[in-house]
Amino acid sequence: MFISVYNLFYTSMPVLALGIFEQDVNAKNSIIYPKLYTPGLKNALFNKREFFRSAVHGFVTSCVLFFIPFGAYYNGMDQEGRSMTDQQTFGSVVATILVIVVTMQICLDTSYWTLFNHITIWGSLIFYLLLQYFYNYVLGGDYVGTLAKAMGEPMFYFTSLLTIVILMLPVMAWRFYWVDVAPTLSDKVRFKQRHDAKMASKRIEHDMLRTPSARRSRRSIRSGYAFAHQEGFGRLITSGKIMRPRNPKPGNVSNGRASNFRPDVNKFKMAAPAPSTVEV
Amino acid sequence: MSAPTSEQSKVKHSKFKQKFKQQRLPAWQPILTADTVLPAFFLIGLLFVPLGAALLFFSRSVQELQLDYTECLSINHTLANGDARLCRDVIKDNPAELCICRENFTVHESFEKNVYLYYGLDNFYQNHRRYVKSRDDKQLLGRDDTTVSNDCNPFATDSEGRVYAPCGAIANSMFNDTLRLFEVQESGSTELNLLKTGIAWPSDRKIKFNNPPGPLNASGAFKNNVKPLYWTKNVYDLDPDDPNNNGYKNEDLIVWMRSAAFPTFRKLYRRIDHNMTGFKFGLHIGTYYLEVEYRYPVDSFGGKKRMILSTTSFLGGKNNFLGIAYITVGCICLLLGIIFLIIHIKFGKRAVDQLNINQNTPYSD
Repeated sequence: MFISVYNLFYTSMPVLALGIFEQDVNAKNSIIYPKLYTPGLKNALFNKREFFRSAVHGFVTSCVLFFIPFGAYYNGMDQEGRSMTDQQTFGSVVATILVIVVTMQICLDTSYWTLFNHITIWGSLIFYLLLQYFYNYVLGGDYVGTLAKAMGEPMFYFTSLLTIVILMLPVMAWRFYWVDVAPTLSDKVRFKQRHDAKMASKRIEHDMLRTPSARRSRRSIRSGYAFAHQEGFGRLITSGKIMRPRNPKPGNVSNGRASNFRPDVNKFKMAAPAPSTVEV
Repeated sequence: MSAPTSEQSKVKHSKFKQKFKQQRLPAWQPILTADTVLPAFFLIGLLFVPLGAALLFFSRSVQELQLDYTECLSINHTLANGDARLCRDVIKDNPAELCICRENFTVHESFEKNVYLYYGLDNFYQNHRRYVKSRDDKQLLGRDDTTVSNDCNPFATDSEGRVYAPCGAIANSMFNDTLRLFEVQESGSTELNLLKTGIAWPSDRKIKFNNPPGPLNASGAFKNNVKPLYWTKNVYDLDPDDPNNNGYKNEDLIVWMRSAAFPTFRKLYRRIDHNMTGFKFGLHIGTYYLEVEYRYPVDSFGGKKRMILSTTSFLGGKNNFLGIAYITVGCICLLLGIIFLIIHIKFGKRAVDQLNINQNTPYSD
């Protein structure tokens, strides 16, 4: 039964969510940096070499998934001396660790975690346990009591932690090495996105700290000198927010009044095609 | 005011739909940077090494004694020249013959409380595919005693069509040696009290095995059945003194029916009764002997039989594998962490390089 439902119930939903929601850079940056599409043109992400590498990775994973529980459960007993080396316990343990490892692998592959990704990934694990319970206790399968007993012993948790770490660490190390030593354009754009988001949130924080009078004066830029008990525009002027444009167009009369307030328009144009160093 | 709130929720919903379709949902976007991965390596390394040491300590605290009795000598069968015969040869010639043999052993350091007696078999493949299938769970639940499933073939019915109880190859090959322990003292030998219940999984006893209705004898619950081919007694004679441990609910049968995963396995046989005088705190140092009613033939497939006395720990039996594996993985992790730290410092791209991109930057250098 496990083999039949493995592909359908335990592993299909996270992959579906990955396919629908995954993005490494957002839509805006995809257009700015067209060289991001190079791997598609070169067929670099799915070719014979990648397939072979995937198959070898699967083979090594299966070996680890078998031999680590084999070694751990070799003369296994529970805390009351009863034997835990039976075929059903061993099979249940290996199957559970397999589902967990496969889910962890897809966690590593997901770089854009929306709510749906969370639901499908953690939901798959919970659904596995629920389906095991339902099939064995309600429908009367012959593995009844096995997984519950195995998961009631600390040996199971130590074994699964060890297996997961042995399988996930090399993958994580490999990817970290490439991102650190030879990042692709996709990695660099993701860094930049994160950096820009950090800068933007810092600017918003900075804006939030401005005084109430300045905010009030932004809302109404009519002259307020008549209202002598208000603070006036002292802070507004000295903060430098009102500036003459650097290169005023001819015919533009700036009379210094606040109504001709022109913020620096060049700041928000799209990045020009000329090479420029971004301020760090 | 309900109208504005339903308006608000409609607006929220359409905003969400917009974000969903434009793929701008709020999301967490992790990147594998050095300031997350390297601490993770060091943390795992520093966590695993002491954990492995603790697991190794627990495993070492388990005491175990193994005694192979495959080739033990009979006490009442002799060869022509007066030497004792091997029990295994005795039963090869005459399977119905009762052969009793004894093996001495000494306990050098006292075993702490809750000592368990196991029998172990070598080279016995209980995990063979056709063997594992050869049982009828419905019959073992006491539901149907007139027909059994085809999985039990050829151990389903005898030549006259009566159904074996229990059917199948697993039940047919049930371990039927009787092991008894005696302590040797100056005044003679005393038998150790062994408990025969509490050895099977509670879930098995409650859920998977049940007797058919009726009294447990040949004319009641098992009137349509006959004993399996290789058995010497009937299923309702497995423990006539205790009706809760008789028939299909016999714990030795339940333990045997849980087929082992590996060819070398051990199954719980009895528990030492610590209410005996002198055994309140465990098995003390002394000389003992094992008396076996040798019935189970393992010679034809090159198998071996052993008796094992063992205590348990937090993790179960004696198994150094997990402890050693944890220590190894922890050390490798620390080593990898140090190597990657060096690589990161010497060859890692700094933030300035990462962010210095334009439309002409190639995809990969």
